[in-house]
Amino acid sequence: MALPATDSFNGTFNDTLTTYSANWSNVVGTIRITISPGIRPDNASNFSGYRWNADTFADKHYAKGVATDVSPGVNASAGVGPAIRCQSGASSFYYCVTFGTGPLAFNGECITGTGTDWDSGQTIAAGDTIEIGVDPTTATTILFKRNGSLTATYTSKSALSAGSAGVCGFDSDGGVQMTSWEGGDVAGGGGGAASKGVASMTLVGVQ
Amino acid sequence: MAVRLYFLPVEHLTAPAYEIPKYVPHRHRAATAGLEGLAWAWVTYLLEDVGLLAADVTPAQHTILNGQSDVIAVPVNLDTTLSAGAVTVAQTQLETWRIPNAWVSTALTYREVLRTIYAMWRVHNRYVGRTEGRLFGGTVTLDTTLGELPAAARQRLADAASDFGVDTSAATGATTLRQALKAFADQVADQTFQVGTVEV
Repeated sequence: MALPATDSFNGTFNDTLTTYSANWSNVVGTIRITISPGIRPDNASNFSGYRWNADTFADKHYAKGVATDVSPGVNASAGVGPAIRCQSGASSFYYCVTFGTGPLAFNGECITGTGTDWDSGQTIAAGDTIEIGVDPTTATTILFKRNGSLTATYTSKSALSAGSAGVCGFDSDGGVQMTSWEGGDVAGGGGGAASKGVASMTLVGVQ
Repeated sequence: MAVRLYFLPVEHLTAPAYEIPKYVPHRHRAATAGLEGLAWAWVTYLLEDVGLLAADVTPAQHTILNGQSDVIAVPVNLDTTLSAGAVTVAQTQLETWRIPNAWVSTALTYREVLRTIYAMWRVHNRYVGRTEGRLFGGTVTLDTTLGELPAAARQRLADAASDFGVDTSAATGATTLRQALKAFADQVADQTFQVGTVEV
């Protein structure tokens, strides 16, 4: 397939992502198809992640999706979102996961299943396109965008390299959903982090 | 309000599996009284016990954080040199956090010290990412030699350093992790990094 890769998750309700499509490989936990269509997390009190396996991504890649629902129905900590640098054969990736109170998006690193948020969260709203991507010039700088606008820059994120674009979730809940996923390489990746330019970015890691 | 840097402990939650900064608000744990709603950003010594946190604090919030015995507040002016007392505190704490410490002196500015520490974290964190586990797990300490590490771990550490252009050829089997991390860091310690809005 050619990048950018896209997926609207229009599948059978409650299927896991790997059952839904062979283009996805499990990294950790479980993510399921919703009715809307979309995806939701299903791994109680822990991270879930899947990587897109149908394409090879450059080290500098991005992933984004529309956070259609951000308010958990049962488990307040549940969220879902895009992920990058999803490793093959290892439960590690950089995540961008929604959180209902705020609502916020938390960006951070999941290393062997253990999460570390990089800050106290970025403001979002239901229906936003949330994006996490690698900076076009510095492979250890990670960018977060809300509806295409740069909102946070995280430098010196050195734990992971390479990997694939993907999706992630935290905890288990049917009330949070993401759809319209896209993953691609930053250079010419179809509207990803690179194409928006970074020359005039504002560094706003702390809100 | 002033944006300040703090070294502070990492709390290792197990359910969920999460690394969170002590005292400040986090979605998985309430903040210490008086720090509710505080916005922050941080970098960590991945899967170890310390992080460097930036927060835009009020004087009252700074007093709370600075009053914790396991928190080190970094002066706002990073270009001042460390006092003798600060060197003692830094060396003691760095050793506790499994960070080589003997190199800290009154000749260095806080910025230089922070850059060297973070340069060590950078290589260490890539190792952790490559390995899917801690460098200092089990019996491994700062005084463990490279020759005492399993061959695969030794190779991953060399690969992690090489990822940042570090020349590891001077390291031998007798080199301790204390020496190796500092030697690797010295080669990239001129690089800036950012914590929140603070450029170091």
